[in-house]
Amino acid sequence: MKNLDKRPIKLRIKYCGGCNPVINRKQLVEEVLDCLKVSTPVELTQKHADIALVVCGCPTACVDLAKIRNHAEYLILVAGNYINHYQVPSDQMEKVICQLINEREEVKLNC
Amino acid sequence: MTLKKPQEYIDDLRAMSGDIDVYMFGEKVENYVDNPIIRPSINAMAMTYKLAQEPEYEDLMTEVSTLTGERVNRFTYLHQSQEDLIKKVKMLRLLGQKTGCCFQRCVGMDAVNALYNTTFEMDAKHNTDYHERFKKWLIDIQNQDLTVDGCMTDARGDRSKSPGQQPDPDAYLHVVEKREDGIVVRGCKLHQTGMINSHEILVMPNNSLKPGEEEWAVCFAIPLNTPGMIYVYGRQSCDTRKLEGGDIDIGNKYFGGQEVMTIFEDVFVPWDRVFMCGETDFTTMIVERFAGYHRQSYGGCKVGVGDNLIGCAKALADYQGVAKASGVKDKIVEMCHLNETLYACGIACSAEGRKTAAGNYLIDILLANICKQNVTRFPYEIARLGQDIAGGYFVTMPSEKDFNIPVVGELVKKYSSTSTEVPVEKRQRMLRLMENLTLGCAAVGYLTESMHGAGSPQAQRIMITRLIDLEHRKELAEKLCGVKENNDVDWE
Repeated sequence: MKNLDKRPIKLRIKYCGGCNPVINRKQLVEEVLDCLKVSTPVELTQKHADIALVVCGCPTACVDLAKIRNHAEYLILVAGNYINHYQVPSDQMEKVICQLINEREEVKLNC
Repeated sequence: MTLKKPQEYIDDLRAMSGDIDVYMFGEKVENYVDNPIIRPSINAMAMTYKLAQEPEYEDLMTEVSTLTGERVNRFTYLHQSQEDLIKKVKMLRLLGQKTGCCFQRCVGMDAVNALYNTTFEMDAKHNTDYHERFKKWLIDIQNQDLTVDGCMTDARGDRSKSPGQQPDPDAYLHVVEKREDGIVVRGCKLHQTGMINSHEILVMPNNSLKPGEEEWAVCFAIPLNTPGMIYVYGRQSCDTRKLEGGDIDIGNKYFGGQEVMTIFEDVFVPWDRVFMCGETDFTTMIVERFAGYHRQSYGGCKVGVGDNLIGCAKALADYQGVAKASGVKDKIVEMCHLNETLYACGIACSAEGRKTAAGNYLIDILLANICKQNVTRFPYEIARLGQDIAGGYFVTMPSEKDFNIPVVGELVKKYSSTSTEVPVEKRQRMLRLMENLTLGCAAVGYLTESMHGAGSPQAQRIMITRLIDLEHRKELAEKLCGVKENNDVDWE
């Protein structure tokens, strides 16, 4: 489902603790937000969101997802170089996340 | 019936044995189930069935299948959480303790879990239907509680050449014919642990392959008694002691391991049992994941065998009157420290495991490789300390028959005794167990398999190099010493 309406997407960003990251979590989020500026209005929130973007530094993804699921319609899990459990090349991470945010139906994948 | 009893498992093998071409010492073995050299390895496998029947081991040995809803043996189960991965390690330690050897069933469990998630991702990319075929096959395995031999290591010919460059293409198992109803494969898998104790063989490629090497990119399953299969039983140190009739000099009275050269001489595999055929881009995934699961396994099974070796050293120290010596006590502490470190690695890579796209859980690959790298070293040191405590008599002691001959036997007993409170036979048995574990039949599993099983040490070092982020560590150091700006410190 494309975000064709003009209402900004409410996006909640949650990081893991960052003990042993294999990706630069903060930089990735900045790149995603920059990318979305062009196509999709976004409103960052810490309350109930359309999409929760959970950014974990390594594949273990130790964030408690159960606590986040109840506060978002859809969930995107970044775990090191994996997005929603599929490995993604480092230089395509930001692009794939933006695509998932824009096509929210796809985000339901097995999280 | 989902949980097979040990006797039913042995009856299965007996029913199959007439159809299987097994060779040993230059002869075809007609009844391998009752062969004294082979039987200890069957007993070890049977223990995986036995413990699953017992309420006091049920929590580790069984789980409810997500595929069938039935309680199944954990060796056929798909891990659904980090807790499941941890229970796997604990189960393997338990079985190492109970058998004192390689009990051979983990390799199939590791192959099953790796293929389950690899086929899922392969289908997502290539629009194939391998995952559904695999699930169907696995449901049958779970329902019948079958043992699966995970089969990876090829003969490999000239190690400097990839499969496609070998003068003999059979050096790596490959597809020699594609037919409407299936494929025909030829090649040889070496070092196959527990092969002829299994019901099914699950074959995977040996290594990462590149375009042009499609014929070697093949995964499939076949029953052990498939036409064209030839099995040549591997020798082990001191193996013919099992033919001598006694029960002391064999060291481990009941159990042992098994390795088999497994030859596929133009073997037909129907399509519904083929789970990869030509997808070279997924060979790295299947190899890394299977190796990762199997490197985790060693943090359980070898620890359980190590528990026996530590117990053996402690018993000998007691029997020989040196248990109170501070040097001996310290060596036993060191053995425990090394053994528990291996266990900690097995637990760690499980606790840091992750969900895959298919839904089953995968260990942390880096930590699994760290685990196995330690396993290539620590059992050797534990064995060295065990031999140190035992003293040299376990390699110079007369045979058990010499203890029982008239006149001389009494002298052998007299000069083998330590304390009046310790019967000579107790010491004799324990010394033979030390020999069995550190340089006899069980040393195949405890030492050399620790070195080379699930990949030789350099294979883990290559993975560690690939997975560790050195630039991140360099930046940490640069921030600390002022080479780079440290934005974390933003207070006055």
